[in-house]
Amino acid sequence: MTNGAPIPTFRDPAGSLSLEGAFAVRTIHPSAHDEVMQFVTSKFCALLQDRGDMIAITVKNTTDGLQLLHPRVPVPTYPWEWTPSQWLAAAQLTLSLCAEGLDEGWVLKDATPLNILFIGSRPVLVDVLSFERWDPAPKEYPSHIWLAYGQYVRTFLLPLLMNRMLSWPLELSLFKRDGYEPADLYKALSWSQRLSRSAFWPVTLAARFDAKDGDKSAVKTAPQHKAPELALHLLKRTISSLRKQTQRAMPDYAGSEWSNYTATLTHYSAQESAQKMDWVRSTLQELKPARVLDIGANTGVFSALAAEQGAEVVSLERDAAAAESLYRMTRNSTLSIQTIHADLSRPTPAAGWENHETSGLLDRLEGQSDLVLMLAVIHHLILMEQIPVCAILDLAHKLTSRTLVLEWVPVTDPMYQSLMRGRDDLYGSLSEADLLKACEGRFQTLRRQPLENGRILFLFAKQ
Amino acid sequence: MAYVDPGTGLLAIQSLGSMLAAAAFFMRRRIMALFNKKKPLASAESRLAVRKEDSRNPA
Repeated sequence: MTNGAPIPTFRDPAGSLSLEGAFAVRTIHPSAHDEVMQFVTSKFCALLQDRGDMIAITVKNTTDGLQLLHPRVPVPTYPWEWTPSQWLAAAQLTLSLCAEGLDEGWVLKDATPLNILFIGSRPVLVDVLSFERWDPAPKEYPSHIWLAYGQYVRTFLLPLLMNRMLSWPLELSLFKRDGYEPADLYKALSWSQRLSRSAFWPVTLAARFDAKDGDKSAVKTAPQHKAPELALHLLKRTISSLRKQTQRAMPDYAGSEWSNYTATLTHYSAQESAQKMDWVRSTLQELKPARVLDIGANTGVFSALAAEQGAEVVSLERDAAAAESLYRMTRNSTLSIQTIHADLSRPTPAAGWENHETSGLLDRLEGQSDLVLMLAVIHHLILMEQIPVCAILDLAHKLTSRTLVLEWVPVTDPMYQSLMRGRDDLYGSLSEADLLKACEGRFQTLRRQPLENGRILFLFAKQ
Repeated sequence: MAYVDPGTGLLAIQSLGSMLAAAAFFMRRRIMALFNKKKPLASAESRLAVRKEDSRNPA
């Protein structure tokens, strides 16, 4: 839709990744060939793939050198589209794999959320070149130092901490590829926050050391090595400490606003809600879609309904609280539901170097679903985002490959009235006829089900 | 090889944390060693006891 597929990656000295057809192809640079082969043929690597903690690898020797083929993740999401619990899950996986790798003689050389993708509700390490041999006596730094520690703190811990302490949105990670510097955050915190248990070590102390040693080289020469056993012990202590700090950086969701969220979301009576559920369930049972995109998924009631029918579901929700609740529901179930915290009316753009390192949200969603659900969402797009009906239908036409389920909310609906806020001249005469007119050339009506509250459920087929 | 920026302040706090953990490691070993001293004592006593028993049972 906008910028197309991302360009091959270029930062890792060990190799480069490009997307080619059904595969993500990782080309290994000759200097890293032996070490990469050692890793991909190790029992540890096989174990991680079997468990589903790491993306599957097929080794291919070509005339151009060694290549690793990975299956494409249907809808990749980036950290700026994750809820706090998704960040935590990705962080915990990173630290667990690093600790486990140390027992097998491997260590993560980088530790950023960008190494992780979600498949359903499960985080998966996709950057398989992150593992390198652990060196008990490196030339450039002491053996008990984890070089990726700084990157982990900047890219995992500090964004979560600032989300908790200052309500800085996690979406800001779009603009901070390498995360936050402690010195920048130090300035933003109050004295009591600087001295708090969560911030003192990774922000206050780190910023003070930055100010003191700013002109010195980060990695000192002539390192003092500890005995391998002690160095391993210290590395594991470091990882364990990071795990605790990350857990403490999570927002506290115990408040009544959160716990009551689901209950306050519905604008249906129990009977009306059951009528809508029955109609959507029977439609899903009849169509049996393999992939469903649920736009405005809320806390995931209809996403779960689709997943229960065997679909792989991508759930899009712009409200942070609802998206978090949705992810928590999926994490505790076996249903294949992938949460995306994003706004369809302001979709996340392509980013990175020349806007080609990561693709925009719509590029990733286009044509990926054979059924798109737009339940109780169209009036928000019309009234709050001021998107014309024909433009909404146009986008839905691009997103679905076969069918669209849409809930039409009439002007008389209390929710519509409250969102209209006196703009009757503009929106007070919008009717079902306008919706059907916008469908012309795009969708054919297969089914129409009026509900007792005046809303209407439609099943459209893509033309 | 340092592929990612290890930072300055963050490297320093990692070193500081490691120093504290190393100190705790050695302290714990010393404390463990204090308790472990009982074992050689116990084994020496048991060896002595065996000898005494042996002396009580002449062939």
